[in-house]
Amino acid sequence: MSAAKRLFLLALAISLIYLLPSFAPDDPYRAETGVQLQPPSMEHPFGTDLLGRDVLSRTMHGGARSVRIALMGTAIALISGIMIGAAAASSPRWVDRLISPIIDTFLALPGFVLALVMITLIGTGETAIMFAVGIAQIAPTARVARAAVLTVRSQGYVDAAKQLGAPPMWIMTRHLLPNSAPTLTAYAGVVFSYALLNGAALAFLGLGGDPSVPDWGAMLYEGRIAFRSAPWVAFFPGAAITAVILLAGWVARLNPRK
Amino acid sequence: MEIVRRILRGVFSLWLAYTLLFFLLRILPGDAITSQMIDSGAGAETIAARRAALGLDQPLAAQYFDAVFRLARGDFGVSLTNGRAVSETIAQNLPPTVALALGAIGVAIVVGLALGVWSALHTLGSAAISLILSVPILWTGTIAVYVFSAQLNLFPSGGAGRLSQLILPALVLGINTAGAIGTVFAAGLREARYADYAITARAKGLNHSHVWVRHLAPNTFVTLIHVIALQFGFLLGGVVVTESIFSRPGLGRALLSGVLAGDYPVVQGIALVMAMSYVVINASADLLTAVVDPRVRAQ
Repeated sequence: MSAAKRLFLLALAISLIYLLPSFAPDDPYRAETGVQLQPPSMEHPFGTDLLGRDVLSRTMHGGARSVRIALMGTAIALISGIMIGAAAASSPRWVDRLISPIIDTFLALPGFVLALVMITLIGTGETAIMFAVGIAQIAPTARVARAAVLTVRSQGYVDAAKQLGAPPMWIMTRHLLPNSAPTLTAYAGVVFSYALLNGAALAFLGLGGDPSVPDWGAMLYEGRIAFRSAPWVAFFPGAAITAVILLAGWVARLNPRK
Repeated sequence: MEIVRRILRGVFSLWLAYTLLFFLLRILPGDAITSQMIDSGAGAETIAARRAALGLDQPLAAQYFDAVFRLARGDFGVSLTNGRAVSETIAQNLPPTVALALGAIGVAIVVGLALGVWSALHTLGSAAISLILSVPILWTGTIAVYVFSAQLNLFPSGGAGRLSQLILPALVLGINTAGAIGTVFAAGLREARYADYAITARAKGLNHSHVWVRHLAPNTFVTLIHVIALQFGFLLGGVVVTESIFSRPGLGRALLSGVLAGDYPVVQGIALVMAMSYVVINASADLLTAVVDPRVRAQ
């Protein structure tokens, strides 16, 4: 399948996630007494949760929040990571010698642990999770960006441009970044996957703020309490996370040059 | 010489990590003590006295040098919530986490290698790897508890210490980690398959399994060792979630309660221990590749 078709599918999937809430059959906040933890039925196709809320509606609403957190986290990681990595790769040697050990230091802390440290720093809630999962991915992104730019930098045409007197910013925006793009877009898919998984895990651990707000990770947390008697509460949001990551991985593997 | 340089770089990284953690966590305006004592209705004087007892009224730089000096002697400071030494909390929670991590990395290697061969031979194997890489551990973990503990009653759903309590969490965390190992092993096998030495081996009439085991697999070992060492970091992150799902005591859950309470000596101590094990494992992996591969040794 061509790159354009896949990108179209990705755009379709993202807009679908944002459009889904308006098609939800029920109010995701409405707790109905007497129908708690009901198995899937015609009325509630995904069943109901601990408070008698419709799981289908909550799953449809929860995607918007979980994917928004992951997209913002990805943006934070990519923008900072690429800037730091490109700066390290294209600056004089001593700048690289200064930046690289700091990148390595952050890499020594597992991403999810770093996200937890960030939560301790900035508190809980949606914005906090965005920054936590984003900041946790900056160092690996910087490392990948640095390696990609270094590879392109050793090409003959970059030398030629330098000899012709092209300014460094021109070389960066016209040669180094566009030619690193295939590696970086593929890596963006990885960053997005981790951002979605880590964001869901933080919400799952109860760090996502108000638990009544529908969110796939938080739903898994609530589902776990009732899992012995009502596995459907956790099953559907988990399946949704898996589907989105599979799709993101498949889109990211495309090569924009082909 | 290479070994010494590698160790020095690791120590430098850890020192930098500790320093960053120390100052980052102290930018916070409030800490566990203040919030705890305000909750219990203590006056400003009591809070100040308690902070002074823990040395929190000293200037930051003095606190930092004091902390580094203590750290060199294995003293990680004192928890702000229960007054226990952080090193004690770590020592107590380390064994179940080490058991989980070792079990999980064992599962990850076995499953990862099997997936790699399957993926190199069949596209269905690649699909299985993609699926494993996409499934959140919080989901597989809860499903595993439901199926194997609640429904089939095969394993206990929580606790630590006995082997039966380790099997399920180690399998869940290990399989979750196996995807990346499988990807790299498969890529290595595919690449080696059409290398000159592999074609020669087959042309000599060696049977296929012999070529795979003796010629193709060993050539992927160096990358494989690095990936397993790198995956260890991912695994340490997964430990936090796994221990919560299975209600296992361990470093991950101690870290989580530290995060929830704003108890920064605990957060800092456990994060440092995790970083330390990650650095040590990756340095050992570098050395191990030299033992395994004569080409690396020659460099």
